[in-house]
Amino acid sequence: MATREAGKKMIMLKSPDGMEFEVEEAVAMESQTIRKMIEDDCADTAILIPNINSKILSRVIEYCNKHVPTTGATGAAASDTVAPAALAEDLKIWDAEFIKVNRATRFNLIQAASYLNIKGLLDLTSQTTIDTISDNSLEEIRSFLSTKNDYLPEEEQTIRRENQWAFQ
Amino acid sequence: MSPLEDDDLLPEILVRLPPQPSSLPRASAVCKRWRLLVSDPGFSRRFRIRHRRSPPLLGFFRRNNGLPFVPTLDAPDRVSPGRFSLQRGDGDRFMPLGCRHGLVLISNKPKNQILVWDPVTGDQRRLVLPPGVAVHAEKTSINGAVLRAHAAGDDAQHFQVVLVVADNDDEQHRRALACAYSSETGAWGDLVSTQLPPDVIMSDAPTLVSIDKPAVLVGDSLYWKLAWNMDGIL
Repeated sequence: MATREAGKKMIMLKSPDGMEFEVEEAVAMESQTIRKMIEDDCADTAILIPNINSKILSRVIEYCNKHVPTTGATGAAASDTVAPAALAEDLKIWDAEFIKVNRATRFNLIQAASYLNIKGLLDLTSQTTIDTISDNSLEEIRSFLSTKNDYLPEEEQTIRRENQWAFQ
Repeated sequence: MSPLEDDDLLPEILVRLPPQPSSLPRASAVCKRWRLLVSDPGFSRRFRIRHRRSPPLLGFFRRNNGLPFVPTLDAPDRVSPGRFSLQRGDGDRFMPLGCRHGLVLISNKPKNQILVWDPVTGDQRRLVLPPGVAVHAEKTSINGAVLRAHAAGDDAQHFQVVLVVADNDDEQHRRALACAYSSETGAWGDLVSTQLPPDVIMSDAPTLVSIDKPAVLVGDSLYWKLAWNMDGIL
């Protein structure tokens, strides 16, 4: 990780369980929600992030730290030496490791990504959820997602009949 | 609460289902909430936009009069040939000119018509050939291309048709003609023409816009192959 340079603006994020996280403004602004708060001058000392506990918030910050563009106002040092394709490949491998979490954590991350409006994280977490259910049977999907089948048996039969080809 | 019970987050997740034909019917059988969501027109629209860049290849149409559909995916995503069958009226003779953006462009020569067909929705639009093209279409073959005019992030259903034909009336000054139709205005535009270079013409036979090869769209330009008495690209 880059050493903190003088003059870089820092932002304080607070979780509802009382933890405080000092992050670079650029990292915090990976969240469109926080970006808007900063741009609207609603973020003077610390920003309270409701509904996201410190454990999840620290993971989110970890993600933003990794994904914050290395180029920009602070200099283009990183991208001069690393090809963009290699950088993207590196991020993909990092993402794959990052998302190796249990289901509850992943669901919490989806909620956090949605509230904080971090597109990349929402893509990663939602897509991973879809990938885990795509190849399963309906019964497996229902049990995996703890979704209740609220169809009457005859209703389900009708739906299956209407699109019989999709269940072959 | 799990995101799968959250009405704002569930669409966010399900919109990432793979674009294969069986995805949404299967999701709708999981429970009533899922069915309600995936059959919502707003959701279908998001689903289409999301997967526009990576749509599955459902199959292809054979280039003959019956336009039979040949599915290329395996079950459960195999689309039965009957699902995409085009009904012919009396005296229709169909010649497909090409497919693009989910639309099929078909020439119906006996009736001087051009047919734009959306196999998924079944919508058909029959256009009468513009006079400037029709007069040459009787003597030679016409080719054309269809494309949808997509604005960024927009799901516009409007399309454009471009027809091309060779004009051999004046042997010294052979020309290629093109005319474009926009479904937004519902009208054909002006006929545009370009001179064909005389030095590459190899015989006295008329020049044709080749119908063996469909048009190629590169950036904002369409290209056709010229044939018979010359090799060239229009």
